Amino acid sequence: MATVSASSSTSDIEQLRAALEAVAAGDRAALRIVYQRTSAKLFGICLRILGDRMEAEDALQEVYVSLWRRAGSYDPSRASPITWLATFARNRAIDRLRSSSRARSGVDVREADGIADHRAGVFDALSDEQERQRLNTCIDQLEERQRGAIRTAFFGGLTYAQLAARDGTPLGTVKSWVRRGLAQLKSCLES
Amino acid sequence: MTERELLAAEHALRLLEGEELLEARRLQAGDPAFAAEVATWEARLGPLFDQINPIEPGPELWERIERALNGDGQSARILKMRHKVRRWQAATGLATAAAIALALLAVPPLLRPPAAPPSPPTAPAPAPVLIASLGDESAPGAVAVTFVPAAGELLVTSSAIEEQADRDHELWIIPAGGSPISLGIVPAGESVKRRIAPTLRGQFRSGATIALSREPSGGSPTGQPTGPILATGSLQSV
Repeated sequence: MATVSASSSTSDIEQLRAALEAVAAGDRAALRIVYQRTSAKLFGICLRILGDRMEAEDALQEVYVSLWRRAGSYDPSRASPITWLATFARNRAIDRLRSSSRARSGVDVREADGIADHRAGVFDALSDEQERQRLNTCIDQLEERQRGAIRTAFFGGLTYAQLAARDGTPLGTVKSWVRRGLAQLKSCLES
Repeated sequence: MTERELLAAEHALRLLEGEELLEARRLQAGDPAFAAEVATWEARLGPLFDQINPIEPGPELWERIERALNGDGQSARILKMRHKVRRWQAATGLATAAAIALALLAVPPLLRPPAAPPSPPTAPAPAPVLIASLGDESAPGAVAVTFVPAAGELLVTSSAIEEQADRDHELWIIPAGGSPISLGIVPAGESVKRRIAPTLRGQFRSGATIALSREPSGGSPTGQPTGPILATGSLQSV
């Protein structure tokens, strides 16, 4: 396989899109290419949510097995293929977290930090620089507690109730922070 | 933002539970505009994933995935079980009956009172027999587990697990809040009786979880499950 750069260049994205289309057509070799390019990123996401390597590997296995069986559901017009896969992995990991009998009440978002593996040829950054800066700028403009709640929910996979329990804040208060934060984020991103 | 737009954003973040989650799922399945709004939010938040470091999974994971895919058909049924385990746990009637029947048929000497000497009428009631059944609607009682405290013996009957080259199925007991403890390999399609070490017998309590995982040939090399959990069930007293 050709070596590609660690950042998500246009050609990386296009190659991944083509590989996903081939997977949808039943090409097992293409699934392996998707795995090689994306498994480290998606494993990082699953591990961040689940906080446990074994659980994260089981979640990751589910992601690729599901991908093989329903890859056709990726809509190329909607999101970049790697963002779509990342979201898919996050959602599967969260489902697993919430259905597990050993579910935790939220993983410390710092737990998975500091053990990065930035290899050439795998996806690291998903989005283009402009998109990333735009989102960061808009998130930075939120009030601290709004920003904190949204980030914690995103990275830890926490529900409203878990956010409230974690900070000892009333549920209604947490909801209104998040909702105001999301509305503000939307208007900032669209301005 | 309208209430509905907010709901879509909240659902994209997976913040919702209960009624609100059900409502969001219903809309996502039935309302294309709502589904598109959720997808838009997922794309908006996508750049946050850049802050998560890539980390290599274990080198054997790809092989596990390929094996799961190659097993399409026969072992898909076992894989499917794991998704249905919770639903199954809510309705164990049939499987429970099957396990009891198996226990009575397969280990009559253990359940009959010993012929001699006869038990004195004042003997304390023995600890109850515990059973667990691992399976789903398509294969209820795929694995039936019966623990007979009086004998310290475990009977394991696997009627519906598929044999796979290079892989074994390993049974575990998971005490509440504890780590899985191996109960050994389960041969496909056979009944085995195992003596449980006295130190381990205390873990066999009503409510303890029994799980079946797929492991490398010879069992988990680490002493903890390394492969996918195929099915779980909880011990119940008969």
